[in-house]
Amino acid sequence: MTTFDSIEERFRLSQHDFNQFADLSGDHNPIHVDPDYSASTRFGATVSHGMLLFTVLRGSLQRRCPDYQLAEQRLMFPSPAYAGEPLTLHLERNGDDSDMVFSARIVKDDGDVCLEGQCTLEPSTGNAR
Amino acid sequence: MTAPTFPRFEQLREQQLVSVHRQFSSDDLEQWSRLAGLEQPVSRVPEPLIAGLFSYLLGMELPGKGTNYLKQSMTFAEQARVDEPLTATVRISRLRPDKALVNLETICCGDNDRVICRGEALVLFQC
Repeated sequence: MTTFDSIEERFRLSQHDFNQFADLSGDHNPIHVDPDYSASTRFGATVSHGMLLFTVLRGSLQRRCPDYQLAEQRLMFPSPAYAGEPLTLHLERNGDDSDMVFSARIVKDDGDVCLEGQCTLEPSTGNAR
Repeated sequence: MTAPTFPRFEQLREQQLVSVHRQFSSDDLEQWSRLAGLEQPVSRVPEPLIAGLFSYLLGMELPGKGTNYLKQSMTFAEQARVDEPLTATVRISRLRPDKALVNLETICCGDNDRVICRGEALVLFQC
């Protein structure tokens, strides 16, 4: 069994990442993929898909807890994440019981929170039931 | 002072729904795994791609462009297989015109209507 109590991971997302996630998800909204259009919006530049941030979080859980699957996920997206910005993923295990519940946050260097959530893991069944 | 009016919001109706059909190939899973920083590609459809079907529907279809995605909760009942035909649906469950808020039920089903994921979304739609 692999587990942890808390981790921090630094990362950045690029416009290329936004474009790839747009292709994967079908969400080609210009706010994610069109810098010229986005410059004239209240955001001022393209912003990440929320589920690309969730992708980074899920990848980290997969690397650290490969024998677990995700049972429940709660997500909030308070602030936009821009291409090239340094971001930090924080994961912290809740409580000290046998539950695999983690608080997750993706935060900018100025403290603004781009993703806040809670992940509940369960032992993997290893098949698509 | 009158409150701002949002003509596109006013066109929304409770119980309105939209769906999308999609399957994810092994190439899709490899591409996702690279974005997720994984050396080994995943063998089942990862949850963020299921969630991405909901965010696609919210951002592009209902309510559509201009949607500000605030919250999503999901329970994953089963894992979707590579190439499994999936249907994702979002349905308006509550409208709060005073705040331009929309609550939606979100569901994704696979083969034979087996439930892959259920959840709820909250979006702000000041349009």
